[in-house]
Amino acid sequence: MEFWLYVLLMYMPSLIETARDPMNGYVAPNATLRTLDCEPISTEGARRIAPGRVSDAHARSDFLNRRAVVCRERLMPLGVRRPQDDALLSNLRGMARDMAGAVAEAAPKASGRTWLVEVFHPDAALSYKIGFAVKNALLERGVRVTDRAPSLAAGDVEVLGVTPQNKAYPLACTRYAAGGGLGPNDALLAVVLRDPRATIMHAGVCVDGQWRWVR
Amino acid sequence: MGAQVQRARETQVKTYAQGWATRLVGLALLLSGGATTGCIAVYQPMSGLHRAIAVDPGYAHLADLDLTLHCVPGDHLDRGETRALCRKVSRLFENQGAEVRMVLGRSPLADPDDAPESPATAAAPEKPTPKTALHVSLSSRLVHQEEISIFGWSIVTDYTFAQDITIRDESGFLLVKDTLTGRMMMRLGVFEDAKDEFTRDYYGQISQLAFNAKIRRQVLRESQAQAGTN
Repeated sequence: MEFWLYVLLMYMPSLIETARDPMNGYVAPNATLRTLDCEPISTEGARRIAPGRVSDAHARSDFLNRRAVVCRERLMPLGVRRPQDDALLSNLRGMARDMAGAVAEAAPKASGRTWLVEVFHPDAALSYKIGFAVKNALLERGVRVTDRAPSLAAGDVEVLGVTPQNKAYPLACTRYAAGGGLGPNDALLAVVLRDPRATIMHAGVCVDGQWRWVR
Repeated sequence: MGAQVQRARETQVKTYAQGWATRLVGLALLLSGGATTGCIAVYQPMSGLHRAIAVDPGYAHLADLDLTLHCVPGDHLDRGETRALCRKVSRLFENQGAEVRMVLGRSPLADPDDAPESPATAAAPEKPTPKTALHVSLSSRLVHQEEISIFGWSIVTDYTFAQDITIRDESGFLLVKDTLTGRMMMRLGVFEDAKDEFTRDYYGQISQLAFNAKIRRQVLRESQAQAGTN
């Protein structure tokens, strides 16, 4: 009898905590914890977001500690996509808005031009998703966007294929302007993956035949 | 009559012995259970720590980097713990090919007044440096802490920590900034995989951030060179 009392005395607080907490130490850690992105917030913020979920403190203090955490479940579980694709797509909206912001900084007169968006990524489906998101972000900023893709002559493509990356983009920009792929009222935003081991993409703008990295 | 007394005495002795045996077994179980379980750490990655990474920390991805690692003590880690963390992260970067210098304290480049607004306005180096120089700043803070104790003995310790990581180039321009948030719970339990899982997450994220900063620095250097030739 005393044994069970000792057990209860020692383990009861932990058991009570375990009952409410998705993270416990008595069975194998819950794999779903890794599918959640959580952020601690203040209890006041929690009451604003979800009224009634966090009880108010008693006027005379109820000796309870209250804590609030906002968790967002991932759209795709870990392991379904390639890690690099997952890293890029997990913050697609933020990345697209960042790229659109870079355009506004780099080209203050951006709204007067028609912007083309090109994404340089080995995966065509991912390129399309990123391009779509970036175009939407530009539209939200009031920038005129087109689905048209800039064209290059076959010879230009052949030369660019053997040019190092650090020279290929400025050269392509010059050829776009010279060959008519980009008109005088056009501009190009290129979203580029420079290294397959990176989880960020870079933005370059081509305006009037001048190339510049902006992100 | 004598046989009945003898039987009663034997029962009493047997019952008494059984009672003590039960107590001893219970105590042994308790002690062995306590020794088996004990105080363990359970870990929950909250934000940033369980993000997917594309770089493998086992390879030399940072071979052309010259890193200065600034580790800032705070309310979560004291000077000794910060120094230990700094040493481990330094070794991580060295294993990936970087040359690392450790500094205990805030980076002098962290002052926003000193940092240039854009890399294009920063002074271009007079001669090309063979390695890319980056400044990595690590600082930890305690977001939340809760403790349940009985008779002065802490049964459950639950704390949420956040580590702020900033990486700047040699001119102070901000290349990468991120916050990794996690939760650790020290409690009596059975399964312990906190150390390995947290180590894997933390080292992976910090390696990825360093690599991203390296690529970003290279791209922006090309932009500076391009601006110089135009």
